[in-house]
Amino acid sequence: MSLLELDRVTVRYGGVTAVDSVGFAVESGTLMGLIGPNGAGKTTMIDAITGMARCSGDIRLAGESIASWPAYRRSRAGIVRTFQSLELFMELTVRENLQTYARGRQADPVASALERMDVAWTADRYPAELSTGTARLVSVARALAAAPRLLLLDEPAAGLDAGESRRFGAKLRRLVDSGVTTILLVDHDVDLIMNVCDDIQVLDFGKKIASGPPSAVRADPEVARAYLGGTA
Amino acid sequence: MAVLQFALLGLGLGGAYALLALGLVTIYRGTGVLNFSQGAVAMICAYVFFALRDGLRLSTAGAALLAAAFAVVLGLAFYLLVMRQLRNSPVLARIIATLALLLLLQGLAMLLFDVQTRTPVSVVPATPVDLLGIAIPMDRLILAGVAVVLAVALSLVSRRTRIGLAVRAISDSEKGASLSGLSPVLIGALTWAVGFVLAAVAGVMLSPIAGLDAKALTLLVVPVFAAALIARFTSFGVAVAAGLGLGMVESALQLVTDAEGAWYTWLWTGPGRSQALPALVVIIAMIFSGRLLPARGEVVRGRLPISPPPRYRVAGPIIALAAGLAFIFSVRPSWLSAGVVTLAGVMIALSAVLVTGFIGQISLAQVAFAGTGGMLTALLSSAGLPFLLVLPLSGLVAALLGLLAGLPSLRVRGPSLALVTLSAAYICQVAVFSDGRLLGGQGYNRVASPALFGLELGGTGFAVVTLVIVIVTGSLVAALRVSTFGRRALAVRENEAAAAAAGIDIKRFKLAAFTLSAFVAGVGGSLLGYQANVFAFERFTIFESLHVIAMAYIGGIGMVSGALFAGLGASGGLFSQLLATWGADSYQLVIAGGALLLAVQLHPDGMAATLHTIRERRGRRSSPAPAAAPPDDGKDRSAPAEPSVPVK
Repeated sequence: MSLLELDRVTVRYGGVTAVDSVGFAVESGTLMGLIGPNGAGKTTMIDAITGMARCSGDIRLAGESIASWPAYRRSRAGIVRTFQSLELFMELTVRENLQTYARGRQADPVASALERMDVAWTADRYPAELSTGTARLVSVARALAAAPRLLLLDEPAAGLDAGESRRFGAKLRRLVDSGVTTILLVDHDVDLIMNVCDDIQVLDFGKKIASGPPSAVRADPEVARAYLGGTA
Repeated sequence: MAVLQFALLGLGLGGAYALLALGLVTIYRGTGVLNFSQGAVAMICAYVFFALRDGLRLSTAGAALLAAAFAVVLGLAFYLLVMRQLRNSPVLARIIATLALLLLLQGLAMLLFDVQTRTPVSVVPATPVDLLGIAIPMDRLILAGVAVVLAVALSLVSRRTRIGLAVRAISDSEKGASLSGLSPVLIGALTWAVGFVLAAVAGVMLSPIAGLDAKALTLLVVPVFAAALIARFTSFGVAVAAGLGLGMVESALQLVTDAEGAWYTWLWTGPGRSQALPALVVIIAMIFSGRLLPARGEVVRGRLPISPPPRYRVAGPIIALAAGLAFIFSVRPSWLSAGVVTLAGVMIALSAVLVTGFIGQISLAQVAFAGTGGMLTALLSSAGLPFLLVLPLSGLVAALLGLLAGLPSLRVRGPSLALVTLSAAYICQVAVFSDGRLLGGQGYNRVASPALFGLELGGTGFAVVTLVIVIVTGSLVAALRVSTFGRRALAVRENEAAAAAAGIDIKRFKLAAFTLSAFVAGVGGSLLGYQANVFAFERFTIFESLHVIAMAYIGGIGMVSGALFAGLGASGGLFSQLLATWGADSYQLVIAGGALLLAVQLHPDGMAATLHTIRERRGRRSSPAPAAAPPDDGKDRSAPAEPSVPVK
């Protein structure tokens, strides 16, 4: 049984269909990538999975339908996300930010999450004191503190340079390979996605246009066309 | 026929509602501010007008001109000196600023004018005219007519002129409008001046009909908000229709409410029922249509007043206990009772710290919760229940009301919630606390002297018990701030999406906070009842609610020390007592309002917070500078727009 199964998930905002009948499954212990041009519906997909956008279709976590659950309940069940704009609590220290999310069996979820992202030194600082790159790592650490079964990352590498992005990818790979969590990674950084993901889903205008391992997606003519932006 | 007659007589009240609502809508469209002082402006302008006409014997035209000029100057000054400076401030600060103006004007009226309610001679002929076979005084028809004419004029200006276009553009996007070369400052100033003049017209024309009464006129803002809400703060026509309609229904309702009937008719008969109706309209409209208030283009997700972890969690209570005991055993009775009022005020302010400071839900109903506790105390204590049982029971019943009042917070936030809670407090004030049938006694009920284990406590003993209760509560609130609850509270108030992502059940959390806070307020009200040996409804009015919020805000609403400050400034508390010994107690409202206006500008986080930050900076200076990387330059979304995908 897959960890997460999406079955014809559709999200409409007013008259606009942001996600149109998308279905795929994420296997436990894998790193799934989700790419697509601007406005493809990637963030909306995360919103739908985490319960922050109303959707039709079915969402199952380990076989159980969670489509009717409110956001907080999905989080408690282990579906934890980060935000594109981070949304760190600016009035709380980094440690307190993580404590707000902390859950699970580890002895010290906060410290171990900070260490996994190599940002233990930030514990007593406020988010405003951190650089963008560091804050991004902290936001991933905050989600990790919740001991997620499925971690949804919304453009975590935005603004990182090539080297930082590579190191970040290696960290994600390590998380999955050491059995800490399963990841659904949304990013613009195609190199990052291609290098670290086991499987990739490609969205365009809310529809799934391709999926498969990186090599297959890289070769797919549909994908190239979507990124060229024309209908040529 | 009588219903029709009453309804038509309500055209006067309705016309005033309509005019005030037009002003509210104008100001909201121009600057996005909900002006809670709209009724107070009508009030002060009416006083100015009648002082000029009846006191200085000016002609009606001369007095009207000067009163209008006064309204314009007041509007310009308030916008340019206060609201303009706060345009990027948190919602709470902007609401507080208009509440400050309300308090200041209220205080000024009490200070400068003879505020015995009187009915001045009308400015327009009041001879009865025949309408549908019913004799209606002409002044009511004129007032309604003026409202309709001005609404048409405002609509025309809004649709046909460049300035109207500019106001509409600004309500979409302030930046966009300034790009088109129109000054938002000019537009803002204009809308505030127009809004205040409309209020002045309403105040001057309504006073001869409904009486010149400082408090009643100020409270007009509640029904007026109902009319403006129905108009969604956009349509002038709907605002006028709603205002006239509400006035007529309210007037006709008096027929029903004057009737006596079976016991269950209690709900709709009795004092204040017709007044409560518009407030009920506000609450229901808000709950059922959720965000009735359209969000404005400029989104201000400003800072909230800071709520740092408390510093002196051990030393603070000990010092407070020592100082409190020393005070209790050394002062005269008048000071002692002022001290107890201060303690009860601290309690009520602590409830505001919980719900507004920690969770960020702006509640103007805290004193209504206290009043509920006070009422229960009168009931239970006279039934012979002991002090130690009455206190928590009063709190519990208040907590139930808090749970109820918390429900709207699940759907509305910010200024809308402030409005809903204000309406709830208004209903409590006009229809519950002063309804003698509930307890018998016209809003005044004896509270038995507090006794502990059969021993009467007496003034000193009660003061000591109160001191202990307040210190324990304060310590618990401080402990709450550093607990999981406190962290979650701050998470919820700052970012509901991220809090939900953290697995926090926001709805349950808000309800819990409201319930807990109402419990604390209820106990505070109970203490206030025991202190005075009477439940007196006028201690639990909206003005008291605003006063508590004002004082807590000045002190720092996110901190326990802010609540302490609020208690000192509570009406009848130590600060009042100090003013009274100087013979200056009539200045209290003016000082509160003025201090609040200053505080909003100078210390947006409250004084306690300013002190806290100064200490913080001193502490930091001695420690090495942070080695953190350069600060975040804001939203960095400069991700590669078109990723370098394998092309071809």
